[in-house]
Parts: sequence; structure tokens; C-alpha cells
Amino acid sequence: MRFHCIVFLLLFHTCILFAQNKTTISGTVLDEFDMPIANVHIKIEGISLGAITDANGTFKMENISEGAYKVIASFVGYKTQIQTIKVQANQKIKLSFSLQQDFQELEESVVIGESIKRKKEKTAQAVRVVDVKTAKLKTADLGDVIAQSEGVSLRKSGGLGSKAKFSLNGLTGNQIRFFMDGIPLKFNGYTFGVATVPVNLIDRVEIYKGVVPIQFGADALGGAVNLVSPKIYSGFSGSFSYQTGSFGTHRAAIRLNYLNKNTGLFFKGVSFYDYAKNNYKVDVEVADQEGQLIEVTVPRFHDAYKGYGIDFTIGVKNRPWARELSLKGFYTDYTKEIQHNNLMTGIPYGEVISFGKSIGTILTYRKTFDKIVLDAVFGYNHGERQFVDESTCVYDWFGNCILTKIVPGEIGSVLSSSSGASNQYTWNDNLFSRINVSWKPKEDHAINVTLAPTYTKQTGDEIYTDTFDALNARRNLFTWINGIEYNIDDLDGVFKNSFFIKNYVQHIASKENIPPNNDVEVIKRKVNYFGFGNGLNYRITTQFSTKLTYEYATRLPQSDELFGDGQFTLGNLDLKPERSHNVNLEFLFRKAPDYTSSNWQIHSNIFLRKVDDLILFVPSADRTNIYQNVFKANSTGVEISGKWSSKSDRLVFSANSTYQNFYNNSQEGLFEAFYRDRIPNTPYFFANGTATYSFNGIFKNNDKLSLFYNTRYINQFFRSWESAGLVAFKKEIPKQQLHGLGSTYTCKINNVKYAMTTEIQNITNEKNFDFLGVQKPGRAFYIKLITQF
Amino acid sequence: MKTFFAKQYILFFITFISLVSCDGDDKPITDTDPISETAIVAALRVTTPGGRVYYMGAYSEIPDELDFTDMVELGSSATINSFEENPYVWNGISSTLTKYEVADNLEIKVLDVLSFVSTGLSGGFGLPTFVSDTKAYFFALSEGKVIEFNPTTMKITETINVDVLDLSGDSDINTHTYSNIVTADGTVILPIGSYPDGAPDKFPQYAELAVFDPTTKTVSYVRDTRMSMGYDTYAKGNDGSFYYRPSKNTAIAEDYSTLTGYPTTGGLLKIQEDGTFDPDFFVDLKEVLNAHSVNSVVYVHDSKALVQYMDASFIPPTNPDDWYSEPTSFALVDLNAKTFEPFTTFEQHGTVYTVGQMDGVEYYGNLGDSSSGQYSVLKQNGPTDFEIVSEAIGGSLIYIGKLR
Repeated sequence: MRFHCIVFLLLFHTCILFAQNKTTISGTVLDEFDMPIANVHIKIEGISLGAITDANGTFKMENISEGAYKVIASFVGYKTQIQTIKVQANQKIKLSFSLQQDFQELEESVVIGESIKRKKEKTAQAVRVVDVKTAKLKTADLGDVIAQSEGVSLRKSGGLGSKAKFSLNGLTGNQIRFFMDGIPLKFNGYTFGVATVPVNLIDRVEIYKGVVPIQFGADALGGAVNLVSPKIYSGFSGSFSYQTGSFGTHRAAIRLNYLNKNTGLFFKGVSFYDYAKNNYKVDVEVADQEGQLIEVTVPRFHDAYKGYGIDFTIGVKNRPWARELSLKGFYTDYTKEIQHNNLMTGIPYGEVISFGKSIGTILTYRKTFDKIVLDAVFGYNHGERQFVDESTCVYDWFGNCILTKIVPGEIGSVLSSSSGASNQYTWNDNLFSRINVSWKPKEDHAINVTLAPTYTKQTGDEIYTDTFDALNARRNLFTWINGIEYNIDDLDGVFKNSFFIKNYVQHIASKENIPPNNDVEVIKRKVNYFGFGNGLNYRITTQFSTKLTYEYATRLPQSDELFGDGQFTLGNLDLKPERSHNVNLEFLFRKAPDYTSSNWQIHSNIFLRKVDDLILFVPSADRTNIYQNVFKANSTGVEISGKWSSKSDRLVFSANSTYQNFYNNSQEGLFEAFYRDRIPNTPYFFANGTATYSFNGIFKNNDKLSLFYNTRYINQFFRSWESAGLVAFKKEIPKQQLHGLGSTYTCKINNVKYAMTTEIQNITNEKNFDFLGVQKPGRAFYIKLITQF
Repeated sequence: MKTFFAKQYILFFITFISLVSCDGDDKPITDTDPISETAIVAALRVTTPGGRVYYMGAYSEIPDELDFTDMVELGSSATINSFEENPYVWNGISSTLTKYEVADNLEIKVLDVLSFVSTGLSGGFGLPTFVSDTKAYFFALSEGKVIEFNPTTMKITETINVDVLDLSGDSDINTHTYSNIVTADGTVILPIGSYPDGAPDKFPQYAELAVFDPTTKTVSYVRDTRMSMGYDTYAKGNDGSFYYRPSKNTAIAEDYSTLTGYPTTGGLLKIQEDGTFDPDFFVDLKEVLNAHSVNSVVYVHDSKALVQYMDASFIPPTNPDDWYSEPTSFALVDLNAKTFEPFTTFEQHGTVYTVGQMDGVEYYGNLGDSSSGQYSVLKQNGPTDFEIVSEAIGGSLIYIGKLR
């Protein structure tokens, strides 16, 4: 009893002493980019007093008695920093911490992502950042990861390697531009699209909606998606991942980095290998010998995908004459079997196959001159695509050759005539440059200038044609996009504004062969457009901020749209650029950061896209897809996302939903009949939800087990114009709700981090479809192993 | 409290999704139309921003407006035909023939589906040939196959191997069939056409018919070198005769060809009941009209053929793609007197083509009026007498037929 009394008295005394002392310690915690870090733990060693930084990275502690102390700033994902101070009575001490990222923190790197995510999202740009670091541990491909964001829907026609088309606030396909580290994705070798990029080779995904920064040198209409590679840190580092599971899927990716801090010499090596048999079961109708249809469930038999690639970068960093000088080389190779037509109707294909190869190099030079930062990138790549359809066999859905035809070629054969076999090559040569110059005349003001010329040459050959061959045409496309931007970051980050002007120039020169004698007709066209935009971010309180962004955007037709892709899409040299007014109004509510209790945030975005001369992908069942300038279209909608996390993030819920009305707004010509109709093949309401619960210290102090659940809902939508025809006979893509479940165990052994994930996708085996009604994989099991060092 | 709000949001969100997920299915159509003793079927081809889409509707009489929004959507690949009281739609992509029923209240229902997938043949357009209630055919002559099926039971009864159509496997020429004539004894005659636009020097220098004899189950090919290859469809005379007519596919090939000394591309031959060309009938329309080329013959009425042609002043454009948009002329050619008179009735309607016959009267559709773009349904009352009986909303009429 006496002991308890003494303790009580001591504590009471201490309280009185603190109450009498007016000494305060305050300060800020910034990251290596001088951006504030929230939720940093500030602790005074030896006494039980601490604080958490707020959204501005500031903290404050009061009533500290005289003496010498060590103040510790710690935050997961960052190296802990300690400062020693001497406190005198009634003193006001200001501290400043600058935390460096700790790359070794694998299991906590989610929080690193949060920091960069916050930093990006607090700019005046219409950007959302997808946390790929969590996704790296899971088995979903990058396409599905991106599709879990609000406003994003993905049309993927099947399993790994299948065609994937993104829709962002209604706009889709080439209206969304994809980049890797600011360079167009296809110029990095990923010619099969973003869904085939291994998740483990990137760090985060930035999604720019409607308003695209000039730094990309892009003419995107609907937005841009930028994949950001991990940074290089001193010494050796790297990671390896391997995933296997249903449908004969094997995915391996390895990344090795080295940086010598003294010499600045560095190299990066990245390699991946993907294979999927894609033999998931689908429900199809087969006919008996009398022509009666029977519904059967069969595995797909000719849908395998194989992709591999390597890229290697060598250079120097942080030298007086260059912040970075590097040379990258890459090679990628893809093979994809094709099982059926776009609608998955009729007779399947058993031997149709497409190939893609890309080889290229990128030279990067970055230098800081006092207040000027120069980023210059130059690149060249060569791409080859091949399409082979020369079988004389006709296959049934069981994989049997049921007929040997006289006329070869599975696609395009018709009952009473045939277009014959096909073995087509298409070759592309691309030269490009991205030059960004940034000048900061004042601390809070910056002027950026971007020059982005791209030159593309395309030709091809149909092996089976010995007379007129449209692929022989020599097409040249020169695109030059320039931009200038003025940024203000004022009032201590309360107000941020970015105004920019873009200039779009495109020259098309095509030497078209004309039948019968392959005479050459030269077609030339030039266009020159200007656009502009503005982004405003205003933080009303620490918990509530709003963002208004606008761009009058122009998108120039791409080489595949103008010249065709030599595989599935015909060329259309008459395509005009499409233009759009894009507006986003965002609101962000966030609970004041509190490390000792739960946290939440809600984000909403109201958007408008008003497009003229929309370039629409007009699908066909076979190989005669084409892009056409068609009509005016509007897309309006709202996105809402929310996140709640319990104390110490043990339980996390997140959800988002999007409602969009993307409709024809033209009353001219063909489109008058569909005035105010929703654009077909486009979902208008969809939502995602995830829940994660984590257990710490299961077997060891530093291990962690996370259980996660995710769901995705897509409302039903029509495959054709909604007002056309009786509803009872219209093809409708039914509503779909998918569920996934999994667990991830992470641990650290001898400074090497390991993670293992087991996951069941589509656990209820729900029938799900792409935008055209093609059935996608059912229930699937995957296991993934990751190590990072 | 704020945490509570966040939880409420998630709860609301999940509840919302659940409610939407449990949403009821669309209500079935309840048709209260009165019973109709007569029924006609009409089909439109509508060019949408997503490509061509076909629609079919049933009516008691030809309405003032044929509106695709009230019709059955058939998809992007459809050939519509009717036999007896049933419409049939061939979908070349799915390789299926769908048999429809038009109820007394004119509601359209799917009666049966016959798939040709097991034969390994699919694609394209081609009309099924209905010979009787129990016998019909599909012709896949490029593969040397004729598929016999029963349109009542909708079952395939036989796959017949026949001689392969010459040059059908050459993708530069693509000889093929589309429409057919069924004679009184069940013989099926199919005009043969080609697409030599990729290799103009290869256009066949003969006219050709495929003749299927149902008794011997063989196909014979009949050629005539008085004219070069014409259309895969025929021109019909109001006296019940059929004509092998010239084709714009050959006319365009001729303009970019280096060939000389070939039979005229603008001739007209008469098809006889036995599947041969009438040796005593031949008119070189090109010569009669002094035309640059002849694109087509729309119909023959009282020995007068309505001919679409390029006049002598026509100069082929450098790019063959522009050829199809060049202006054409129409004339009525007297097949006996070998004279012609200008025909201007169709000028306002643009390209006009036959879409079917009802009660002995021929009906025509168009690709859109030259000025207004209006799609019309034309009824032929005489050799030069046409009456607009309906407006097709959104696209061209491509088929009309009376079911009962």
C-alpha cells in the first residue's frame, strides 16, 4: 500500500511539474521530396510523451521539463531519425526532421505508398494513385488492379494475355494513354497492353482523369495511366516473384538493382516470363449432326498466352554533370492463341495465332542547373506483329478437327466464298523524345515546358498475296506535342494551381499502293490544334479539400487507328482528331490523423466529358474492326470512394462506386436515331469493395498474416444501342458480382523479406463477361511467392 | 462519431449494391394488340455508329413508318427470308438459321434454331433455298458441299458432296453464290458472281450458273462466254422470267484492268428453267446505252430493263475506292428494240433495289434519298410507276414478304 502511495505521489508530482512548465517542442517532418508526412510517431526518449504529425507534417508537445532529451521520429517505411535537444524552462523549440525511405521495409511499404500517394493527390492534378505495393502481394494482374479504382472499368475478353481495354469516366481505348515512367508503354516494349505488365515490376500507378499533365507529352482525351518503377537505392536490391495456379498459369518476374553511391554507377535489370494455358471452362452451344443445339461446358483449347521480356539499364546518378545519364535496352516477345471471334459465337478457332515482338532503347539525361531542372529522354524501338490463319481444319468446341476444308483460313471463311489463308506481318519503327524543362523562379512558382516529338513508320506484308497487298503501303506519322505550364503552390500548401497550354501537330504521309499495278498514291495531311487547361486544389481545412480541374483536350489518331494493326483492325486514313472539354470537381474529406484511433476518408468526384468527333472503335465479329469519327458524346457522372481503418490498420475497409452516363449527343445523320442513347458496350454503374484484417506476430515478432476479401459489381448493360429494337430480344450483358478471398503471410529472415499469398478469385464461380458478352474465367486458385532483398 | 459515419457509408454502400443486385428482371412484353389475319414481315438494315445492325418486324399491313426501335434486333450478321408462314434468319457468324413465328397478335417469337456448326461451315451471307415444307438447302460450293435440311423439323438431313466452284478458293477472285431460283421440278439455279477488285486482271470472262439437281444430288456449272461475270443475284421479269445481270464488281475491275478482248461486262442473259442460258437471248446493254459501263439491272418489266450505268463521259478515279461514290444514271432499255429512254424516277431515291414481292407486286428499298437521306419503301405499279408506301426509319428496307 505504501508503495502504491509513493508511485501515485510521484506521478501526481510529475503532472504538477509538467503543468507548471510552459516549454513546447514543435516541428515538421518532411520526406526526401520535402513533402510533409502525416502520422509520424514523435517520441521523447525516457519520458512517456509523444505526438503524431498531422496532414501538414507538423507536431507539437508541451509541458516538457528541463533537461537533455533524444527526440525520435519514426514511421514505418522510413529510417528512424533521432535529434538531441536541450530543454530549458519556458523555451519554444522548433525541430525539423527529414526522413529517408527505408527500402527494406517490405511489409510496411504500404505506408510508403500512402505517403507518395498523398503527395501526388495533393497536387492540382486530377490524379488518383493506386497502391500497387499491396497488390504486389496478391495474384490479380495489373489490369484488374487498376480496374479496382473508382471511375475505371476494364473490358478484358478472357484470361492472361487477352485483349484488355480500359474505360475511364466513359472514355475508352486509345483515349486513355498508358505510360511507364512517363514514356508511352508500347515504347517500353509492352505491346500487349498494360494488363500484361507484371505487377511486381512497378511501384505504383498514377491515374490522371481527363486532365493530363504536359510532362507526358500526351494527347490523351480521357486521361492517362502512368506506371512508376521502383526507385534505386544504394547497394544491391531486388525482388523475385513467382505465381502459379489455375488454367496453367505461371508468372515469374525478377528485378535486380545496384547503385554505387560513391561512383554513381547503377544498373537495373528486369525480366519476366508469363505463361497461361487459359483453359478455363466456358458454357457454349454445340450442335449435333442434325444441327440441334446443346449447351455444354468445355475448357477452352486454343487460348494460351506466352510472354517474356528483358530490359537492362546502365548509367550513372547524382554526378555534378548529370543527375542521371542512363541507357536502357529491352526486348519483349509475345505469343497469343486466338480461340474465337469477338463475340464468341459460331465455330471456334483451333490454330489462329498472333505474335508480337519489340526491341528498343531509351537514353535518359537529367540535370539540375540551379533553378532549372532538365529531363530529356530519347528512344527508338522496332516492333513486329504477325498474324497467322492458314489452317484448313475446322474445329469444334471439343478441340476436334471436324472438317478439312479446301480453302485454308479459319477466320473470314464464308459459306459460299472464302478470303483464304493469311500470314501477315506488320513492322513499326518509332523514334521519340520527351524533353521537360522546369524552372522555379520563386519557391512556390514553377514554369514547365515540354517538347514531345514522335515519328512512326509502318509497313507490312501479306505472305499469301502475290498481287495487290494493302499492307505494303509505307505509312509515316509524325506527331509533335508541346506544352507550357505555370504552377503556383501558395499559402503553405493551402492553394495550388496549375495552368497549361498544349499544342498538337500531326503530319501523316502515306504511300498507298493502288490496285491493280501497285501504283503509288501519296496521301498527306497536316493538323495543328491548341488546347489548354487548369487545375486548382484548395485545402479548406486540414480535413476538407477540393479540387477543380479542366482541360480542353485533343487526341490525335494513333498509327493503329490510321494504318490498322495488321491483325484485327483496318486502317482509316480519314480519321480526324477528337476533342473534348473535360471537367472534374473533387472533394476529399479526411479525419484528422490520429495514430491512436481509427481513421477514415471519403473522396468524391463529379465529372463531365463533352466530346466532338469522338473516335469510336467499331467492332466486328472478325478482323474488320475499324476506328471511325462518329459523333458528339457526353459523359457525366459521379465517383465516390471511402476508406476506414481501425487503430494500427488491423482492419481496413475500402469501397468505391461509379455512376456514369455516357451518351450520344449528336442529332446528325446516322446518330439522330440514337440521340441521348447510352453508348453501347459500356457499363454505367460499377463498384468495388475490399476488406483486410491483419494479425501481427503469429510465429515471429516481425511476421504478419493478412486476410483479405474483395468484391466487384457491374450493373447490366446493353451490347447495342439501348433504344433500338424490342428489349426482349436485345443482347444484354447481365449484372455481375464477383468475390475473391485470400491470405498473405509476410516475414523477414536474415534481412530478406518473404511473402506468400494464396487467393481464390471468383470464389462463387459466378459467370462473368466482357463488354461484348464473352465469358471470362470462373473460380480460380492461385499461389504467389515473393522475396525481396 | 466520424468513425461511425465511415462505417455507415460502407454499410450503405454494401446495402445499395445488394439492393441493386436483387433488382428484378425486366418485365416481359405484354402485347395486347388485336388478332391480325394477315401478317407481313419487313426487315431493315440500320447503319449505327457501331456498324450495321439488322431488325425485323411483323405487321398487318405496310405501316406508314417502319421504325426499327419497335422491331426485333437481329445483330450485325443476318440474312432475312421467309417461307410459307415463317420468317427465317441466317446468322453467318454463329452459323445458325433461326425460325420465327408471328403470332396472331403479330408478336414475333423464336420457334427453333438450326445450327450448321457441325458441318464446319459458317460465315458470310447466302440465302437458304426452300424447295418444300420438308426440303431446303444451303450451298457451300467453295467447299463442294450442299447441306440439306428440313425446315419443318429444323434438322439437317444430309451433307452432299458436290463439285467445287471453280476459282472460289482464289482470294483474288472469290467466285461465289448468294441467291437462288427454284424451278418447278425442284432444280436450284444459283447465279455466280465474283469479287475481283483485288486483282482486276483476273475477272472471269464468262457468265456462270450453278445448277443443283436434287434427284442426282449433283451440281453442274453452266458457262456462257457472251458476257463476263455478273452478279450473284438475278433480275426478275414481271412475266416470271429470270435474267443473269451485269455486276458493278466486274465493271470496276474492268476500269482498272489491263485486259483486252474480253466479253462485254454489260450484257444481259436470260436464265432458262433447265438451268441453261437462253442461246437466243442476249443484249449488250453497254452497247445499247453507249455507256462507259453497266452497274446493274434492277428489273425487267414488259421487256424493258431498268439499267443502272456509268455514261460514256465517265472517267475512272485514280483511287478505286472512290469509284463507288461516283454518280450513276438510270435508263429503261427496250430489250427487243434495243433502244432506251432515260429514267429519272429513282434519281431522288438514290440507289434502289428490289426487296421482295407480295401479292404479285414488287417492292423496292433504297440506300437513302439523295437530298433528304430518307429511306423509302417503293411499290411498283407499272414499268415506270412507283409509289412511296412507307418510310423506313433509321435504315434501308432489305426484305419484305407476306406470311399469310
